[in-house]
Amino acid sequence: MTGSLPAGAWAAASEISIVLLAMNGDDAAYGELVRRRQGAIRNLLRRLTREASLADDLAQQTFVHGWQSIRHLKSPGAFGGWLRKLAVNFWLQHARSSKQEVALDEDLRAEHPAATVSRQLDLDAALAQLPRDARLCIVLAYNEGMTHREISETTSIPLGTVKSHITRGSARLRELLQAYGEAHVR
Amino acid sequence: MSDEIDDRLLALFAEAHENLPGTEFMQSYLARMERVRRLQNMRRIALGLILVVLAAWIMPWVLATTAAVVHVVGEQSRSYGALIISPAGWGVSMLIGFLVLLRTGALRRR
Repeated sequence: MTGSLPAGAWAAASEISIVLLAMNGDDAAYGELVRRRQGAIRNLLRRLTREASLADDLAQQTFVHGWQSIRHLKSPGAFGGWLRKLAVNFWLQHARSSKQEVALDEDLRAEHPAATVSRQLDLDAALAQLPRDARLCIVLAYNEGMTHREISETTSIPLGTVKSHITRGSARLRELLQAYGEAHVR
Repeated sequence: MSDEIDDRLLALFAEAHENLPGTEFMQSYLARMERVRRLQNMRRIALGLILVVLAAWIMPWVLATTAAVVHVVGEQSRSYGALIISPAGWGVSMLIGFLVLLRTGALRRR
């Protein structure tokens, strides 16, 4: 493992300079990038998968793949989007290979009494009810704050379809959340 | 037209965002990286071994073919042998060498 900066200096270093070091094979720099980005990538995958352990596993696959291919990154500034795209691809790969796509959270509700069901659980359960592509578009728009065009570029879904997924998906999400008793969402 | 975004859903997503502690995740990530590195090293060693075995296997054929080619070239160029080792031959060789250096830019001042 190579380390081009003293341990305390990482916190002050800009992400672009760390990405540049990582692109030149500095493993310590890549480790710092993982430390900085793990929360965002894990949150994104938790919204998509509804399963914390699966989300963490996919996040790790994403970071390992990122480490193997960071040399091919076109520009250091594109690191965040590139990593997010990797994460989305790993999730899509997983979703395609596993057939257990839509199963509402009856089991989860059984585990958590109604009074303690958190908003997060409701949101994840409602998201799980959406078709795969719609869920992806909704999560990228609301969780990641991406524009429709960016979503289209990241997912290779046509722009018009992205717009329609978001419009219909948002409406369906509101319905589902209302059904869960989230009156204030309406 | 601007992107359609529902503020209430946006707030709900923001609320659901967790501050995930990274210690445990980083530990298992580092362990996974170690496994990947070990696997990569084993793959490299295996590839090296395959290349060595392959080289040993084709070596007799390579040596026999090289010897045959050298023999043929030797037969063909016997008449030029005297010319190559003459002072004129040395001169021409040096000229060719100089042209190659010039062409590759090796004589250029840095």
